[in-house]
Amino acid sequence: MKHARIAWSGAIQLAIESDGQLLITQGPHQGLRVDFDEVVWLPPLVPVPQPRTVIALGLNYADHAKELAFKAPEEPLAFMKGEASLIGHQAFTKRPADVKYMHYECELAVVIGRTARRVKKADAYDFVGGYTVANDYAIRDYLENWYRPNLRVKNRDTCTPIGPWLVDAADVHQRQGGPMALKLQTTVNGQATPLTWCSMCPPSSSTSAAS
Amino acid sequence: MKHWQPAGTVYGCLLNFQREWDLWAPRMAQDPHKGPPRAPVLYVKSANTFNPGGSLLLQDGVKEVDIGATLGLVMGTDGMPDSVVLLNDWSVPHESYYRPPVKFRCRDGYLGCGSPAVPWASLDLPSLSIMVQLNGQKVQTVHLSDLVRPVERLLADVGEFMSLQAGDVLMLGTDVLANGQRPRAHAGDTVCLTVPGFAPWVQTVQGEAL
Repeated sequence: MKHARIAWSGAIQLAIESDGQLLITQGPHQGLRVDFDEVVWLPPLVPVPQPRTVIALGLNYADHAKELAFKAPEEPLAFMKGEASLIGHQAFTKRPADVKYMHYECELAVVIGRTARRVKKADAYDFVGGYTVANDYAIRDYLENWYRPNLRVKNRDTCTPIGPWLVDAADVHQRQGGPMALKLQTTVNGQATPLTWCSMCPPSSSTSAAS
Repeated sequence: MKHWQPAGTVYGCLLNFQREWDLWAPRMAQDPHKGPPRAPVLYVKSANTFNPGGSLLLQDGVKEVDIGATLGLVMGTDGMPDSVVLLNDWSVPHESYYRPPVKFRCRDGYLGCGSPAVPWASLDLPSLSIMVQLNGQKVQTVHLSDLVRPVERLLADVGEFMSLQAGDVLMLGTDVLANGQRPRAHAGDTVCLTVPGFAPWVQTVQGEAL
């Protein structure tokens, strides 16, 4: 099942995908269908009691690490982001007027379903609640070599579009090859860029996680 | 009374005390840094670090921790601080500021945060200092008048690239001693932070049970 969180009719609504429309699942409009272009898409993440932890992994794609002449890191090279950098599908991301190196980075985002600590590799999928897609923009004009990646590059307002759907983990895990067989496709102004396969990163690891 | 805990994202600020900046200055142009930082150097303390309890548990082979006495600005709805909290921003000692792994700052329990927040309007921040005591002995005094970026400038420079939302916390930074290191604590040590007008914040460092 594909879940969305949308603004519609003056309030936030939870919905699922149904026959090419959004089916509202809770509240006074439960059961109503609305079209995709009638709504404002929000990040497909329900509020959590504590500030959300957003972990991004760097250099986790074998070819990217190779291209940058790095040996793949021996342990995950993670950095943290604030939830305020997230925005929904089809929103505006602000590009500063003077920048030359605003890079899009398509990410499979793994939404953690329950508290995970000292997880065994074989059990890792049990902790996944669902999957979504994020664009983890970097504005490399602002790169500074202090506590890389510095937040001015990676934690900017509006620079982490995420969604539109949160796909139930079971739906992905039941597919042939599971999440590692997913292909990530980025298009820029309608033009496809080279495909990235999740199998380029080590099994049972992810490119990005948001609990 | 319930211990205070952050309601939003907690950001820390590196190199925001003049003494540490001056100690680093001769090396800032060297590799791998290639120049002094221009924007505030920030990091995130994730929710797993929030620790309103009386102890910090050392785990996974960590033998010593840096004490990070600091004040955090708790943001209101208007982009200005609503209150201020006394925090211990614990970290695993690390020499490199290039790309340190998050495991140095984001381990479970590494943000001591139980002292109740104090209203912003009642405080004159530059006049405050934090006294750090290790087992009853004073080991450091942190003067809030020694910030590289005082509050207004820090808020402006951070606000240039990211918004602080109501409930988010911006920590002002942690100072070093004359040797460039932060005071360190080991299993069995009790660390007490005191600031006039704030409830003292005391935590005991515990080793992992064998």
